[in-house]
Amino acid sequence: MTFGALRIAQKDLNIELRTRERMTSMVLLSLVIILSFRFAFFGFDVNLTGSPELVAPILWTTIFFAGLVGLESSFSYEKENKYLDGLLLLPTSRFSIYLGKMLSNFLFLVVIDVMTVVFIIAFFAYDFGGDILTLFLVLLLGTFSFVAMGTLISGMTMSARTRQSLLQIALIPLIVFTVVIPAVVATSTVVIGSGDLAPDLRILGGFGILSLLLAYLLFGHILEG
Amino acid sequence: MVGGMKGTDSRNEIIETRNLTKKFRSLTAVRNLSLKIGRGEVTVLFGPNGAGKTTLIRILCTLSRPTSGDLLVDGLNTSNNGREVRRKIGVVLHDPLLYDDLTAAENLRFYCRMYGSDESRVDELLDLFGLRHRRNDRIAVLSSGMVKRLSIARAMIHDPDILIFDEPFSSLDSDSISKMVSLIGQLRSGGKTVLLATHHLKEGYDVGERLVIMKKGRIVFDERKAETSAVEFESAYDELTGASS
Amino acid sequence: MERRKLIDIVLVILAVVFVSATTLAAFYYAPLEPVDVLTVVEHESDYTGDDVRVKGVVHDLSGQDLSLWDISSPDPGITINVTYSGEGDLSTLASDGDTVYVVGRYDPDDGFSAKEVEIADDPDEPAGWTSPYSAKIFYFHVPAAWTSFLAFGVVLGCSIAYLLKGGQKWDIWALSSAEVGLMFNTVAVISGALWAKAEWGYYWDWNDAKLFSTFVLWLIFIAYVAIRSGAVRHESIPRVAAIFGVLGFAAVPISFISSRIWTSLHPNVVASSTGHLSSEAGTVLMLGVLAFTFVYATLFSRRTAIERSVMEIQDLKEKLEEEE
Repeated sequence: MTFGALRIAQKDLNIELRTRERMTSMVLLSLVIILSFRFAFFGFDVNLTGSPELVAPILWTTIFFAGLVGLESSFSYEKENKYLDGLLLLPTSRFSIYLGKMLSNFLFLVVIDVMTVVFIIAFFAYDFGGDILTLFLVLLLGTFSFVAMGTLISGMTMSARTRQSLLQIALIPLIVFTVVIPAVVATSTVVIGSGDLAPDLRILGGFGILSLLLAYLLFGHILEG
Repeated sequence: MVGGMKGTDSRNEIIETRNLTKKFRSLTAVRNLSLKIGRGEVTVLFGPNGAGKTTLIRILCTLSRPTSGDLLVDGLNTSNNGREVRRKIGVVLHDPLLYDDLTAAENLRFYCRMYGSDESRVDELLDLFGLRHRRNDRIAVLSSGMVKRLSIARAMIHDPDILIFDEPFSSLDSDSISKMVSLIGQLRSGGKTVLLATHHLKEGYDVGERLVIMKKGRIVFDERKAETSAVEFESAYDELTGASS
Repeated sequence: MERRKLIDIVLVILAVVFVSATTLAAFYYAPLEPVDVLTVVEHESDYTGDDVRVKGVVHDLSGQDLSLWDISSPDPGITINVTYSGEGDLSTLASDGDTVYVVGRYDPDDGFSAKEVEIADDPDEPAGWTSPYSAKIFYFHVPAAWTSFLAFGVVLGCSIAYLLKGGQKWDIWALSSAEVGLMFNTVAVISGALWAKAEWGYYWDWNDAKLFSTFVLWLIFIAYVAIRSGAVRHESIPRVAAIFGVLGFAAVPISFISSRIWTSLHPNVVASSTGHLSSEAGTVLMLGVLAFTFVYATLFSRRTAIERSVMEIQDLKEKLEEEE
């Protein structure tokens, strides 16, 4: 039943293609955050080409906040609409349910990664030049690491009434050192074009794999009351 | 108070609970409950709200873990064989467990693939429940009767040996109720084990072979239908649960 | 029940006695070796004979008799008297934190007679403290931090026990320990910030690994308590909290070792070969750790008692309902 995860992800994509609810709110949020930065820098005449060290923080702040919205609705969509029992009754492992959800969250967030880069190019007239492929490698790895732990915590907080704030309170301290800082540093390394990428990519990949392992061990406990 | 049923052969027990207890933080919903259900039987659980029926049903279909005690389904202990047990049971809960934004056929196909069943089963069940003409309609636009039928089709997608219904008669009109009664009859003659929880005394009595009444997490009445008339049963229910009607 | 009461009374007495003893001792013992104007970083092996150059770091100039300095060599137990006969005095030549070379002559009977003082252009990290008296906060800061680590360790143990064995007892213990531990961690963070202001001149440094990682630890257990404290009493909450307790504990060793593996100004006083702790100060610190552990035990015991009463009330309520 290793395909169970793929089928759950496929189901999420089908629903998203029909309703476009989650994608719409995530893309809009990404746009609003980028525009907020644009307006906030209005008086300073900040030009990202002149200060490339600002690119990575702006990029990741946007991705993390848009990602939190996506993560929050990942399980709460099933829970709120009372579909979750249907998944729990399936003869798949609980880990497959996690993997399926992680996969769909990852795909949604990759779209946000692309859109955010496009928004930065559009609103800050920033030219990523030839770095763009390396940049996407870093974005993919950072997104994977973020989503791997995020999906686990999203599964933990779905039952709470204050789950949106709880997800943030619980997730952010766990990813400060393990995802946020390495992702921002690695992205800065790519954008500024000096320094060693490998250590930060190793932290991102390692933490993503560690999160998968934790989910494998713990996700059954999370879903069973 | 409640022993094994007379005449129930131990080899033929498909569900057995041993001293099952479920405690929530502030209440004990199921208390030390031992129950054996024979293969191919229709067992009906009655009881007022808060008797622990739904909690028991959720434990039986592995959605909830008991605080203590064991549950065996076809000889498998659910605490470590959850996946095999879930393969053997089909569950119709109060919620249809169908995605509003997907069509009838898409929903069934999703569950069909998840159970690894053959996809021809989707059309087979749509025909059986008379929903073929609505197969490409989203669940959100179907009537509640249709959704109920489709939720039964969903529960039967992997042709399980055991079917568990939670409140199958609620929010149905009288026509749908009689259809439901005849469906349960068909399942019975098809050799399925059926367990249902309901507070509809009349319909429950009609479909049941074994009648069980729960109160405050315990079994307070357990008889075969052959041994109790409808009138006797209803007065026993009123007496045991303190219901006024 | 009676035994529990007795234990509680003994714990309260122990906590009060030890906290008072620590406070008193803190008045008498500075946490560091006797304060010197100049801490020697390098010196020539032989002090006798010709002029020698001594490299040292100047600190705590104010309020000292500047014509007569005590300098302690990095070799333990050697303190040398210094007399300065050059122009001006040290306070005009150097200021706190400067690294200086002192040239002079050493005589075993008269001590070190300095003639010249020059500011070094290759400064050393200060080996001493610009503000040795405010460092007394260590007697509370270090025990509070240790006790919070202990409390979070109890959370980890109880969470694992809850996941493996179940049982409300483990859940209650984990919750109680997390709440009390969070309080101690808050004390450690605030007392650390107060000391930093006195010693470093600012309350907080976000680039300091120790400070940052401890702040993250603090956030994690705030999240833990937040998960528990919702009005929602969902049945999965204890399990979720237990998992979070296990995940969150990872921040404890990170916070503990961070000042040793990453750049941090945070002193490594305990469990470090370069500690500047005098043996008296070490004793007071031990006293403090014991005192705070008793305070922890007292609060933990009271907190679990509250939770037990809640359970009892619920059981009684249920029994009453059943008898109806």
